Amino acid sequence: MRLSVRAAARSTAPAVIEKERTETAVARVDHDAFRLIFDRYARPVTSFIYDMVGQRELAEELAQETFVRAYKGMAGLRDESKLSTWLFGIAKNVAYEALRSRRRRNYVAIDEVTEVQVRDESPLPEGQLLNKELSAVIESALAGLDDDKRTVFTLKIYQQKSYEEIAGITGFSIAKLKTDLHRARAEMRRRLGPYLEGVQ
Amino acid sequence: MKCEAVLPLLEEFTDGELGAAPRQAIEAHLAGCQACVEAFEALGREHALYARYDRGLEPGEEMWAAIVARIDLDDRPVESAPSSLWARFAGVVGDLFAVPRFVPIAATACAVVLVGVVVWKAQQAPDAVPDGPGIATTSSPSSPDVRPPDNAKGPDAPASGPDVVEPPSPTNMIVKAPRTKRRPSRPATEATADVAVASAIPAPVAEAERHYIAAIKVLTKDVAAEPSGGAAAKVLDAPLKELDKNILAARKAVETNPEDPVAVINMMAAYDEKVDALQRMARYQVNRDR
Repeated sequence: MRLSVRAAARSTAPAVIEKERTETAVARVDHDAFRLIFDRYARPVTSFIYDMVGQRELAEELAQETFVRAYKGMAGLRDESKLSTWLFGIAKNVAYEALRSRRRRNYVAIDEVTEVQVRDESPLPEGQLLNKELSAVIESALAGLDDDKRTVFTLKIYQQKSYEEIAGITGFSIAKLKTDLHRARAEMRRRLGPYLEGVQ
Repeated sequence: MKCEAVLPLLEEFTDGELGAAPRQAIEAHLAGCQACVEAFEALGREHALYARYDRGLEPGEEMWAAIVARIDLDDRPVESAPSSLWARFAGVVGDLFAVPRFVPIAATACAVVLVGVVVWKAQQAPDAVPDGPGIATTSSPSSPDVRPPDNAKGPDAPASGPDVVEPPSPTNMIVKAPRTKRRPSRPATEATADVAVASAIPAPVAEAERHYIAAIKVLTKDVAAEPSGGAAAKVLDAPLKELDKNILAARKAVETNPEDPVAVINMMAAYDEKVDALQRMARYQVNRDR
């Protein structure tokens, strides 16, 4: 039954009705604006969440959840220049919730996955095959980091966020994120060693 | 700068996070230190390797459609204001005509409003209607006090974002009802039935309101009389109380602006929503108990 939803969503107080009449016109603009936001951030947000949870379908669901929460909270965003930080903050929380939920259910944690599954799709040019293998290795290496280090690493390396932005997204102090980033790099370096040597 | 000072800063230097002075100092050092240059280039190779990571993700229309479906965006054009009070009122009470037992009530309501408002407009004579029991009117023009919760930042707000505030939403707003006399708590299904008709509400509108109240009374009895013992009514007491708050607010607006047709329409719509909710409850219980 959707009574509570109707009651909440269709307040018929006159002031709200008038506001809704005005906002109905505005809502269409917001809809278009939100589509622009989606177009701009769908890939980076989904990529970030995927790096965090390591599962494609789950990452897409969580990305949807992120945008839904963002849409509902958009009116509270005072400073549009902080949109990216705010949006990634939601994504980070959504990802952390999923990780906690998964651990509570005693699923196999992604950091327990040590075996690298090389995708066997042939024929592929040698370079592309190497890239797919490398991607799997990077994915496995990311999974080996703890949540905080993985968050900081992927936000810095893959999302190109500044320390200040990462602090805003995560709530971490600059000192903590610097330490986590340094240790994450060291761990990634260790796991990707053979591939790094091959790049020289 | 010496190598011992440069090496720990190379990661920040690579990340572009150093201020102008240390950055220039490191650049000057790198110009003459091969060992530090090699360390710097190793970091660059790492970044180049990471850049080859291909997740194979392509979020697009399918994800957008799923998001839209979840947030239930309505892309219909903005409805223009009703061209006439009669047309809108007929629409609001239309559902009542769908239920045979309420046809007489709906027909009466329409007829009363149609004739009565014309007469009232001509005479512009406010009619006094005695207060009834139940929800008391208040002489003070206080409006519902709406404030966000104390923790204005929602769970998704960034820790250091003073400009980002979780907007008030129906789920987190604390609505203080106008000051009224203290009365014992009553089920929301019954509360509306005793609403007081304020003297400022035009007589024909008050008459239509009484028809709505009569419908609500009948439906309330229907819901309570079901074999489940009105369990649905107990569970849905909170949202029904929310509907009552809407009705009160809408009535307040009519009392304040009795000549405003929009306020009247809104009040009728608020009653309509309560009737609709009770109808759904009654139908739900009938279907469930089959």
